[in-house]
Amino acid sequence: MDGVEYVTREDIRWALVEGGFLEVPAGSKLYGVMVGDKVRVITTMSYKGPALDTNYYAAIGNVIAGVFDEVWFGKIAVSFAASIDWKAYSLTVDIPITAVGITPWTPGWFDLYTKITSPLVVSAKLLDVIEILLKPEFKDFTILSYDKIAGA
Amino acid sequence: MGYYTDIIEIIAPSEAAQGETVDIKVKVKNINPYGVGEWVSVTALYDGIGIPMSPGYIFVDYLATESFTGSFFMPPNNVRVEVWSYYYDYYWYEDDYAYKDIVLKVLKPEFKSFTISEYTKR
Repeated sequence: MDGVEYVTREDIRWALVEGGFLEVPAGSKLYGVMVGDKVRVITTMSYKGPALDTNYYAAIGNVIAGVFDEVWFGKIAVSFAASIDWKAYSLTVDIPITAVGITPWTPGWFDLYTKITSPLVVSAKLLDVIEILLKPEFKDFTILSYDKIAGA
Repeated sequence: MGYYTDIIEIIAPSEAAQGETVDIKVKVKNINPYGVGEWVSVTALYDGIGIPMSPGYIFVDYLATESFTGSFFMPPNNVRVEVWSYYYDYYWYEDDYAYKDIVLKVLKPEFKSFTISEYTKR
């Protein structure tokens, strides 16, 4: 092991250094997110209307029977300026991946969605796009024995 | 209707959003009682504020109609656009008056193309 984890996306191999970041466009798989990491989610949109103060919200979880069962989420206050014309915006929020989520979870692939809380505007739900794993843990790492091997 | 001119129409939207450009067109007809052509001009105000109109003045044949145009930015309130027409006889004489009310359009928040563009591990 050289301390580098290799991940694949289609025919592209990405080099991921622990503690660095892996960026994927929406719809692609985000591999190897671990407890203690954050997932930064960017949503783009256009807005027109009166000045608006609201919240940008992103959640990771599982879609079960059509309902999004959230496990982790991130929320940030945002403001939109009054405009009679369409203006482009890009909003960013971080979702902390904690050992204990809103609901119980097991490592695996999770779904993602974002929204504006008021008025309610919801993104499409991206299914099985984020892999979340437990941090590797070891215990009782102890030398058990050491022997001479003849001829080695 | 005046004696020499008739403001036959003020063309403007009935409502506009704050900050929106409001275009107005004023149509004035020459109704000179002597049946001759004349120089005609208009002035226009919204909430007492002058609206530059173009052309500044124009020669209008008897019974013909000419147009004047101008624009302003809609303020955060309803406005009344007032127009006066003038004819020239060695001096500009105010002749006709007309007005049109424009209601402030209340905007609703609207979003489009709300799309997750990327997600990164930090």
